[in-house]
Amino acid sequence: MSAVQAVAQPAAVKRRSTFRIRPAKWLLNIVVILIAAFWLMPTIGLAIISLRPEALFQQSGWWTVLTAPSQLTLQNYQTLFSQGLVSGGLLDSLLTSAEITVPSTLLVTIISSLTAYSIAFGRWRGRTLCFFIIIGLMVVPVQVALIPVVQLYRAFGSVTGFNPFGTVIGVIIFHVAFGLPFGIFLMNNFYSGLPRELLEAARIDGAGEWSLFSRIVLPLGLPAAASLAIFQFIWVWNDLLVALVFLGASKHFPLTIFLFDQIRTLAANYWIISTGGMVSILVPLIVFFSFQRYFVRGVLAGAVK
Amino acid sequence: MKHMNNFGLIAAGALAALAVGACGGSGGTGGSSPATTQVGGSATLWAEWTSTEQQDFLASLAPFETQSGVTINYSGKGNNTDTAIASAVAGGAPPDVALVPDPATVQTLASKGSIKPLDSILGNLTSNYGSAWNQLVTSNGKLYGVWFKGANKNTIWYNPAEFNAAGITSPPATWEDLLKDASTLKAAGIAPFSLCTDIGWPMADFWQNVYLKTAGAQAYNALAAHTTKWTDPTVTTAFTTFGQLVGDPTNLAGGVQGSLANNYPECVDKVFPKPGAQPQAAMVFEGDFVTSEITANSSNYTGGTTGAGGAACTTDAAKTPCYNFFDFPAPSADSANKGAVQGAGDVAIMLKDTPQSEALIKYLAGPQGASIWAHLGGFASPNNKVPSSSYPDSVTQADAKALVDATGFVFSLDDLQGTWEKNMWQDMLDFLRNPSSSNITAIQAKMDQEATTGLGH
Amino acid sequence: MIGTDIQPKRAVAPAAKRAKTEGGGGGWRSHLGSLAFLAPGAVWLVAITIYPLVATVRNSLYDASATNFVGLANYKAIFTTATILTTFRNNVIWVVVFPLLVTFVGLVYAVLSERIRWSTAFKTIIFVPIVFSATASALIWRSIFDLDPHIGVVNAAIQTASDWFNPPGLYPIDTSTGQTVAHLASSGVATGSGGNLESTNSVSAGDTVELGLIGISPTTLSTLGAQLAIEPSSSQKDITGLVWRDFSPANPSVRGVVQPDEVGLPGLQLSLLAADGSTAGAATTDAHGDFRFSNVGTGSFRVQIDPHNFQAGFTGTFWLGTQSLTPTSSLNRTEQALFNVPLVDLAMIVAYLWIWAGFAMVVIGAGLAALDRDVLEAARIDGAGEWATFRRVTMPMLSPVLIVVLVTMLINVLKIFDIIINMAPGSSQEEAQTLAVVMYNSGFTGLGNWGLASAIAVILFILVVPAMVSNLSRIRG
Repeated sequence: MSAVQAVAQPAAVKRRSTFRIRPAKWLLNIVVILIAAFWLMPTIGLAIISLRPEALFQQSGWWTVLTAPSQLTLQNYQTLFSQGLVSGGLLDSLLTSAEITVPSTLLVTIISSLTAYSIAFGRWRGRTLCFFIIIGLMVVPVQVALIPVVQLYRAFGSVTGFNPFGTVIGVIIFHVAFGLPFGIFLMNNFYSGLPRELLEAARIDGAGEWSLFSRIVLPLGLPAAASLAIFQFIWVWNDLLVALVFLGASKHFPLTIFLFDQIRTLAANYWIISTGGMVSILVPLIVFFSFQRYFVRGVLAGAVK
Repeated sequence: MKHMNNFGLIAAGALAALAVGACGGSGGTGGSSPATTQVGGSATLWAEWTSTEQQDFLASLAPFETQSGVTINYSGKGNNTDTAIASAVAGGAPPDVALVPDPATVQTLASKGSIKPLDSILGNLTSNYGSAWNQLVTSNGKLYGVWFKGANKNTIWYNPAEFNAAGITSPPATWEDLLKDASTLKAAGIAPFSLCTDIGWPMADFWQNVYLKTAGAQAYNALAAHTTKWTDPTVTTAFTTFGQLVGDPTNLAGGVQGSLANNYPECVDKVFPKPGAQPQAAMVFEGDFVTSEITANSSNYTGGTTGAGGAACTTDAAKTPCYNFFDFPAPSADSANKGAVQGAGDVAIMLKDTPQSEALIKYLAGPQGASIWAHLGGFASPNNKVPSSSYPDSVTQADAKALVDATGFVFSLDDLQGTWEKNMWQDMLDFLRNPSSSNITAIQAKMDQEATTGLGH
Repeated sequence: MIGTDIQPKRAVAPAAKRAKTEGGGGGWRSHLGSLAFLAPGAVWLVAITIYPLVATVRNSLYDASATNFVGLANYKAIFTTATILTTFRNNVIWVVVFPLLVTFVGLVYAVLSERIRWSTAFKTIIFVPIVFSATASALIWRSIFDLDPHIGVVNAAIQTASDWFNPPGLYPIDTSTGQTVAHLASSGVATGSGGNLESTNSVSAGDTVELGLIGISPTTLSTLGAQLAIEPSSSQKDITGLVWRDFSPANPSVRGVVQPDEVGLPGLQLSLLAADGSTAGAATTDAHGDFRFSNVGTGSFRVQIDPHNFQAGFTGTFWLGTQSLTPTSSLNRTEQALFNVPLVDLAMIVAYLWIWAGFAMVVIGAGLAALDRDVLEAARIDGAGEWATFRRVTMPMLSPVLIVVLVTMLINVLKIFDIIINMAPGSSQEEAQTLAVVMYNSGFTGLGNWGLASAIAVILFILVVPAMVSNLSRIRG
């Protein structure tokens, strides 16, 4: 992804600037430092609020911790985590978030790869049309599918006895559907850049489609699959609307609903909100930073044509 | 309302903590409780209560099961009780007895003949309830329900320590007294009210009470059904009266802006803060579910006008803070409406006439079951045979007394407005932002239009 | 989170080309294999995306329970509901302001980061919020914009600045409730011609004067160490007096007389005003509220309680409220619905900008990096100034990238939902709502009106169609 490629761009490569600005370097650096500080401040503020005792929230701002660092305590985390897996609690919501996100990510990555393979290397008519449909689907808002899918689930339930509405599976199915267009697009981009000769050679040797896919294309496509997985993971982890529709009335719901619930009904309990908020952002942060290099390497590899 | 059920849940837990020490002995004393003979068999029972409330309810049914030998199969339906019963009746498989939170459901089912009249079964047990209550569940001259649980939304909560600091020795008895006390509080440098706004429902509750106290229970019900138009002069009077209090921003902590920033329950925290924070106002209006928020803020809070251990009430929540309420006052010209109460409740109806269900209905009409739950906290009953001593403190006693003595009882008007309920809430916020008389006229016209569209008449 | 790739042009063209050059060949077997690979994705998409799209259009023509045909009634309802005007207006505000703002900020950051050595760290800091949910951002920024200066960073900063330039007095009035010094006057004192509290009677040497104030909170009294008021004793050449809190908890309705439990007001700065208005002396009240103007000479004076004693502190701006940025107070309801720009929208835009500026910066940064430097150098050698080069050469070369960012953000913002329901407090919800919020509220809360919600979904879809077409044509071309 060119997006993150630029993030990783080493500063050592000297480029002539687009815009030659006259002001002194030190002024520039100060401005940039101020911007960076302003950008970091909200996250740091949240972290500090979650590390202060509940009673202090309304009395003094979190910035007072700079003069009184002894305020900091882990008691909010301890209280919420020691609740254990009580339904609707922080840990339970964390678990539900994981239950929704991990399978969705895996399914999207796998199915996107399969479909993209078919579009990129298949020889059937209408491939291009399908591809354009997929590009079109990329911008379709989820609102368009919510009600019919609820109806679909209900119909399925009356036929088979299992109604996915109100279950994690129902949410996963929905998320996968809306992750596929972008996933197929991304993987198709990557696959199209692979040298055809490799596949031709293997076909001549008698390899079937499946071994072509699993032994050659898939391993080569891992970097792109990794970047897809990360985007999908973060998108599903952070989703609120789909979860609200399908799990809003359930006993177990993901972190986004946990936070939404807290804000709507008990906004004064900021010790819960900030602690939950920190937990909610720490997971994608860890995913992002751990896979950033792999992610970037994959993107760079995929970008080389 | 969903939020009320949630808070009912928390109320059970919180008040239970308070109540456990206060009551001695087992629940349920004398009164005209019917002699339950051994009946045996079983009965299906539906109600809205789940989780903690379910436990409390089943505890109150325990003596019945022992005395009569009837096994109760209970199912808690939560917010969907009315819908569940309607579909069960339509499907031909209703429970034997059910408790519904909505008297309108009782009327509908009675008119369809889906529930049984109870006059002959109850006999003189019907005198356990005031006429205001029985009237609500009477259809075509026959009684169809017994009230088991009630909630009082006729309450203004105040911080006794702040009242003491302002030299107010007794809470206001009339609306004029309330305004006078507000001035006194302001002279003492204390903000009179912390106004809850949220998405508008606390404002609607407040206004409804003003309407009830100025126009009376009959007019209230007519307005709820939209047989009275919203452009009616009684509605204007209610707005103008309400404006006497909330139209003056010096009466509100933080002024209008500060009030609009108040979601529920932050407004309660401004009067009954957590330890370490100072109260910012002396009074807050909302239903009796407010107590669960107060006790959740700190276990130091004592109900009544003296603090823990008989100490004086302090504004410092870390020491001996108190909470108390007074009945929503009526203007002295409308003192006839003093006893009108707005609230909620759960009424027991009989869907299948069996010996078991008859015995259960008789038990629920008696004070025994109610006393047990009263002891556990988070509960009040309109049954006049439930002894005051069942309630854990003076606040809940007074709360229950207001229910029992109600001369007229009405259910929340906004909940009866169907699809335009949210618009009504928004209109109330509109009023707060601009309480001028021209805006009142505009809002009234708007509300009447919304009512016609939303209710279809 | 759709990150569009600025490389698709190069990527797709070869694939499309290859598709055309390859013949139908391959035989029956590989066709089946290909289609088998296609099947899972195709079935999934048809079932959960394509069929529902059609079903939603159908549902929009049916009633609330999706069982009875009502034709265009839902659409009619949408365009005649008063609150829908507000909704469209908010969507317009978001669509007009946000993409442009975020692109601009991204461009600025991209240009700045080119010039500093630590650009990777900077870019990472700016980019990271993109991994936070809009819910998390909403709750962070909601606290930042909190009304209470003890909680909200913005109001705290303003308060610090305000207190520094205009330090609040010992007895600050509460401007949030509209309190004025006139509310404080109780006995012996009233607002004079200058708007300040003055003694109602004139006094001369040897007189005593008692000024009673109300509306002073018990907290202020204990902070300032107020003692019981002591009646002043007269002194021949001086003017003595007492400023006290004219409120007695024991007798709350009595005013004007110093009760045994009433306290003096310490620390008040007073001025002695001569008949012509000039200041003839100054004094400060002691812990019991007493003061003395010594050797006042002849003439009659008024005692003024200086206004800075009551200087109000900053109590907070309600950033999350519905106060309109545009001057619409004189308009009627419908006009207001169209032209209000509620403050809360601004606050939410800031919160959303915090998430997405990094994306814009990084995409534009890549675009900048890919620019042909020689063209720029050529322009500079030709004598074009920095700004002219930027405007005439750089920007046009950048425009494809800028358009990608604009279109992506536009699609994103049309569906904006999470940030609104989490960040706008209850009383601001209706003024802040957008199409996606109304769709959810009407379809999935309360009784649920599926017909109406589906109609709103169809409108949302129609609104993204231009972006869809633009994407398609860009990738095709």
